[in-house]
Amino acid sequence: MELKDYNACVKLYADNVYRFIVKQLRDKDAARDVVQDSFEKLWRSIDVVPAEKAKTWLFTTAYRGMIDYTRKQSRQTRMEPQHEDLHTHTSGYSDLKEVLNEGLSQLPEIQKTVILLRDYEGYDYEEIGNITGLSESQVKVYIFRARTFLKNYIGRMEVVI
Amino acid sequence: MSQIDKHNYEAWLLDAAEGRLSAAAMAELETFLAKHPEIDIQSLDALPVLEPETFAFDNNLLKDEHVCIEYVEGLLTASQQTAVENEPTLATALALYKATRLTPEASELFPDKKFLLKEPKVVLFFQPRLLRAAAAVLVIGFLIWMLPNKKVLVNTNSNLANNSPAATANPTNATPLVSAPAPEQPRQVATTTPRNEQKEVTAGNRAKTVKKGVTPPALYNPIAKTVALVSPSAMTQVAPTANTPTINAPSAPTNTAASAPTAQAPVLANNSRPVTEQKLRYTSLDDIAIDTNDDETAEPTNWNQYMTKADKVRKKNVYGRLLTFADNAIAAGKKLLHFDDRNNGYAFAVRDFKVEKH
Repeated sequence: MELKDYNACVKLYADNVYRFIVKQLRDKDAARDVVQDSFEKLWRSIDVVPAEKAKTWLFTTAYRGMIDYTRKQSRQTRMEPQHEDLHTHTSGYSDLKEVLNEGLSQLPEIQKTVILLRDYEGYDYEEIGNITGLSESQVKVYIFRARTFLKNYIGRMEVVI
Repeated sequence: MSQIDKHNYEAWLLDAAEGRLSAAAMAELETFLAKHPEIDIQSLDALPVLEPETFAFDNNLLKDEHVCIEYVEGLLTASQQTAVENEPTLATALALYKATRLTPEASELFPDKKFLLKEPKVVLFFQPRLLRAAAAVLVIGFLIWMLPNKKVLVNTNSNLANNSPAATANPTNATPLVSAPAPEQPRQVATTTPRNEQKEVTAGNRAKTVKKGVTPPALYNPIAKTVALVSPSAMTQVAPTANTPTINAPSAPTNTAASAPTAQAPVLANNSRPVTEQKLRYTSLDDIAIDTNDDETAEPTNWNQYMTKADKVRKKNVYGRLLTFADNAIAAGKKLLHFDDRNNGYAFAVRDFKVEKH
């Protein structure tokens, strides 16, 4: 992997990795840090990461960085209760996308990760397993559970709407 | 199993009910029960027996859901997809599952992309430290160039063919080979010496070059004095011989003090050969420093011969010897030691001569 490949990765994948992370962390600043760390690690590993595997390498690194971040956050004691979720859906849902996003936020973390990789990036089960460290069958089970949950969530909210 | 009695017969009965008693044990149990008619063996039939549960599983519902997810996941064949799409009972579920597909928000962009891009490595020359060093070198070089040049530069022009025989060998009459330029005329190459006062013998052909590029800084004399010249009248021009460059005294047919470098008029003045040349021209400094002439008994009529074999072998004090050689020659009123080292781009001088970069 060379300098031009690295810069191409920045242009092609920085937004994708950022969306993948920010959707799960729901914290833009934290997502920016995770993405920046991931690319810094890629730059330091530029000699060992082949260009054709750089995208998966980036998502894997970003996913691990996100896990580390959430673990650190979970260890920290919040001085004030977090109310940000309360402000995100106070006036009801205007469209299906918002409903879906709300349902996504209620998924378990691993289900959220696998379905985002599946839908956002189009990774197959094996690639998702490589990124998340799961087996292919585990990935499939989590995706099926996530879709079932989202389908039920949408169905419920459609009735409300 | 222990012997059956009134205290443990129930355990025997339970084993019998579960079929765990052997034929002999069963016969023993039956014998016991026959002896004790008061035991109610009918109660064994009243023991509860658990029946296996039957689970009503809605396979159709599960299958429907599963098929819809497979459809959304793209795991079905084309014909299976068509079948699912045409199944009216799956229409609602299929629509909902299709809606679970997440789409990335194009407006969500990573804002710090420009900070991640890397530039090609900067050329070392443009590093600030090197730039400062280069600037310092330029300034120093400029200052040196601006200094008044007090050097007396050697006239490397060896056109001595027009040497006048009327010239005198008296040192007092010697004409400076070069003259020191005025301070306001820096770096001016002095070529004021009349060319007809110079003679040369080319000696480069007789020497073998062993090592090049040796420049003796100790001999660099920035303030040149005078240059002893032999009067052209004392000279007798002879055709230069490439193999035997000579510096000869004007009136000394035999030389008996050639081996004494400290003599007032050594080597050069007492040379038996006719006075012909007061200037040696060498093609290279290496010709001076290293000479393969091993004949130490020969008269040292020139620098190459003036050096001893040991000097040549050790290459030690070569330039010191050269200096002595020049002293003696100057004392003898000789114009000497013009080493025109054009091969290396500079002329070499001793004492009253200068190193001039061409």
